[in-house]
Amino acid sequence: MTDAKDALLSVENLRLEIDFNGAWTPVVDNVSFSVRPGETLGLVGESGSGKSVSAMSLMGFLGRQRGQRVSGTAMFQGRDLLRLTDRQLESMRGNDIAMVFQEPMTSLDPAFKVGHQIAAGIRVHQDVTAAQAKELAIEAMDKVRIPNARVRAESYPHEFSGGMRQRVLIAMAIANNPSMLIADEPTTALDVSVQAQILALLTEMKEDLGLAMIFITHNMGVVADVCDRLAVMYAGQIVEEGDVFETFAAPQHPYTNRLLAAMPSITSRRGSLEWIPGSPPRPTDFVTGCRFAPRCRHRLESCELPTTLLEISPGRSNRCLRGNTWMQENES
Amino acid sequence: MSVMAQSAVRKSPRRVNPNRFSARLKKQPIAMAGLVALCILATVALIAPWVTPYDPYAPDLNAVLLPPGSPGHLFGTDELGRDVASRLLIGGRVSLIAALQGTGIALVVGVPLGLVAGFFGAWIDKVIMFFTDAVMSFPALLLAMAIAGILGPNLTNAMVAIGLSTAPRAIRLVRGSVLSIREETYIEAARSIGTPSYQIVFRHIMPNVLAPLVVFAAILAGTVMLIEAGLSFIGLGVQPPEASWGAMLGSAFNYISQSPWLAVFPGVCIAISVLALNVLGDGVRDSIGKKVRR
Amino acid sequence: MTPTTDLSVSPALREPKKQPTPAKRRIPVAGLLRSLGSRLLRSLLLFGAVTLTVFGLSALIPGDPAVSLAGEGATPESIAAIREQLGLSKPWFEQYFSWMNGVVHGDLGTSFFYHTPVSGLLMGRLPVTLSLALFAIIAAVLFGILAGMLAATRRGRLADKITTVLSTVGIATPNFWVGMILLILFSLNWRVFPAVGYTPITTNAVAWFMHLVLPGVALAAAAGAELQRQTRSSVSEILSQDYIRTARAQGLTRRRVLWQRALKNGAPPLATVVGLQAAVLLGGSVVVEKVFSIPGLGTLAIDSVTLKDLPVLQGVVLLNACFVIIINFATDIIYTVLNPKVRV
Repeated sequence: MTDAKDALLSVENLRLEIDFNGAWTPVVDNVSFSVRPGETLGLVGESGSGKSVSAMSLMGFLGRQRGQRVSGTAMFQGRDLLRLTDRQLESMRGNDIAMVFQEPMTSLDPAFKVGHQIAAGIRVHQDVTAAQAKELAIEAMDKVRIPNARVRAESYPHEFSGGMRQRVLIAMAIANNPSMLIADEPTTALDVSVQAQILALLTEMKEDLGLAMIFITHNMGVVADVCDRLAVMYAGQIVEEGDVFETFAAPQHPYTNRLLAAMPSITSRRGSLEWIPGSPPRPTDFVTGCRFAPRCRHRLESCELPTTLLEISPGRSNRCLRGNTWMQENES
Repeated sequence: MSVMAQSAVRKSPRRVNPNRFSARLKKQPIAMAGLVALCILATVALIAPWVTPYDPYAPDLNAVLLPPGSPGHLFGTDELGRDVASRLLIGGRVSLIAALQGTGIALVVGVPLGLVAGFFGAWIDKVIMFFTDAVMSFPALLLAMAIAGILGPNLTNAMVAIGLSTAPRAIRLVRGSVLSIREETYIEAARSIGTPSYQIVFRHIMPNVLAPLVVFAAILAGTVMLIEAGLSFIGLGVQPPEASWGAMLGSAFNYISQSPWLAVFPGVCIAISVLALNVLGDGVRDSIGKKVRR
Repeated sequence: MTPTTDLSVSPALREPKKQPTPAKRRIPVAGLLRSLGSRLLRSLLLFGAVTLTVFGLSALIPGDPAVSLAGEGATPESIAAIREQLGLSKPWFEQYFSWMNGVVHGDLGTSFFYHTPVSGLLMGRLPVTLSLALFAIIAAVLFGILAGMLAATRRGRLADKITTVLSTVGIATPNFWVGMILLILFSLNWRVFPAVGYTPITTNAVAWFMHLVLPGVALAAAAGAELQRQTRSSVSEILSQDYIRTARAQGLTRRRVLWQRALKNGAPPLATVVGLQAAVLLGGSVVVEKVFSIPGLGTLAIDSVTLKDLPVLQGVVLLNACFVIIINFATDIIYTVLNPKVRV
């Protein structure tokens, strides 16, 4: 946990519970992290690990309906995101924190021209005329390298390819110069060749605009490309947090280790891809002890004890009860 | 290849599993209520002639237009002194039988045409669909009224008229389901191993059309009932002294200022029956887990 | 771009070159015109089929049509007159063509009963039925869309349950019976609205409106209920879409998303239902007009059946079918205009 003073966003003990037939079940729990201005934090994990759920809770998309409740704090520019009124939340969304989603194919409204959709978001937060908003929208489209932006602003989403749609969504996100961007698997649904372009664009935007970013992905390779720090999530908890280079060089948690090993690489000496046997537990099956233990090859009986995320060096934390002693064991 | 194709042919994956279907249906209290209501209505319709407290056709000029709750006449009497309760029972029988007839005619005409249009496609589909659209250009009630009026006012003619006017809906539905199933892999597999057309239609397509058809039939029966009520109301359906709920409303209309209650019960009966058919249809649709258009 | 370079350039990198130029953007208009043309042609063909059907109605007359139409106590002269007017001695296609010739020239024959041109009778009744149908469709759209939106945004809550029960019952209730109950309550009992009859808008606009309220509501009930169901299901489906979340992430308010985004996305299917219901409404107005003694096309149709006035009956049926064809055509066009995906 980095010190909260210079952080742009500082999340403490975020917990989201959902009512499953009368039983309040934590889906995400004890999640703490912080993001400094201009920094990119990767939230990594398998699907269902709670990375998107955490982001959605911060944006107020989860935890505010009936049958859901959220607790903890998320201090952003001196305000607690989890305790904003609906109106405050609306004026924050897209203005201070913007979000880019996973599915560019379905994330744009098919009934409105893209220029209009970008402009709509601008007019919510800036005191401009419709014509000025349109100009700003075209500017934003230019910024994300949509060729011929003035003409394309008059097109409907279905006239764009997936990559171009994701550019439009990024243009929407940056149109109001937010200080933070949450990118939820922004490249997962795209062709491999387009993925690289979008990643490059996001990196460029982040540097040009000084954006802080939470980058949600299940792809360790992407993390290495874009992120400064990463937080690995498993079964609704952060299991390891740290600097990207340090973590990649010496993962502290067995789960991180397995994730990195599962990463395909040209230089890999192994003949076949690594994989992690079993699947992550569902929220209703979460245990008090280490949640990864059932799938962990370094498991001991003591792994059934409650876990905490311990800071092992400045900016690095680990949830494994065995610390790094598991590393001495033979990998096989 | 042929082994694979045959195993694909043997199980039509879309066929509805009866056990899961009834389990899902049982979980829907509203649909179950509809089913129960229909069963009661059907039973009453079956035994009506033997359980009416009075002769539903016998006038009693000493007890004309009695209000509901009068001694011996729970629902009162009509303009000829006939017992309203007895007439409601008999009228229900007539209305339900009429609904069955009309729906039956619509299905008998519509289903084969829909199958042919959907399965063979090409020009025959175009011709059938063109005439379907043409018939659907007439408001069903008006067309039924014209046909019934010209054929002569009686219930059978009215039901033929209603059946013919609503048959296009059956054609559309069946054709639509056939089209969506026709492109399925298992049908293609059956075709590729040389299964004759009639076998594909009866063994693979019909069972899959059946589920949406049941839903459709329930909802159509409701529509037919409403149209029959309208026709009988204006005197083109059942002829006096016979009663159907719609015809009872027709005669009640003439005494609406003196005896407004006469207009209440038959209408309630129609509404409940149609409601029961609709919610049952909706429930069945939700239970088979397929999209069926109303 | 030559085919050989295609292999070296990944599709993604070529992507920008596929942008439509301003010249290409005229294509949608051409496409719109083309689809308009084909729909128009189809409507005309349908009109042809409809006239054939209406003409064919006379073939359903049991026995000798002339004798049957002349009714009881007909003189040989009146039978002969009917035979002459319908041209019954000629082959059927000649009869059809001479009838059609009249139809396209606005001549629908002469009423057996009134002995006046059918077209004149229809024109006299048309404004009445149109007033009623328009009133009803507006009422249905207002209720259906508002109640549907309410239900969609409050799924599972009280407002949803109440409106859904209302519309489920509304669909199952015969419209003329709703009319009778309204008549009993609001004009016989409470005397709020006039019971029967009709006043032209040109005579007295207030009286015109007051006369339309009860039959209009009766007629609108089923259509409004159907629209409520459709609105509820399509709006709640739209509200769960990814693009709604995107708009909310931009900071758009819930209300704005509902009234702009959800409504526009839901409009094409709603337009279809409105068109369908408008057609159903026309048919339904027949019996409702009878209940409220409104001198519209519906009562004319009923009278023509009772009086065995075949030309009038054919005229009303044909006119209604024409309306339905026009409504369907308009619905198709509106659907195309509203739906950007179909348009291109």
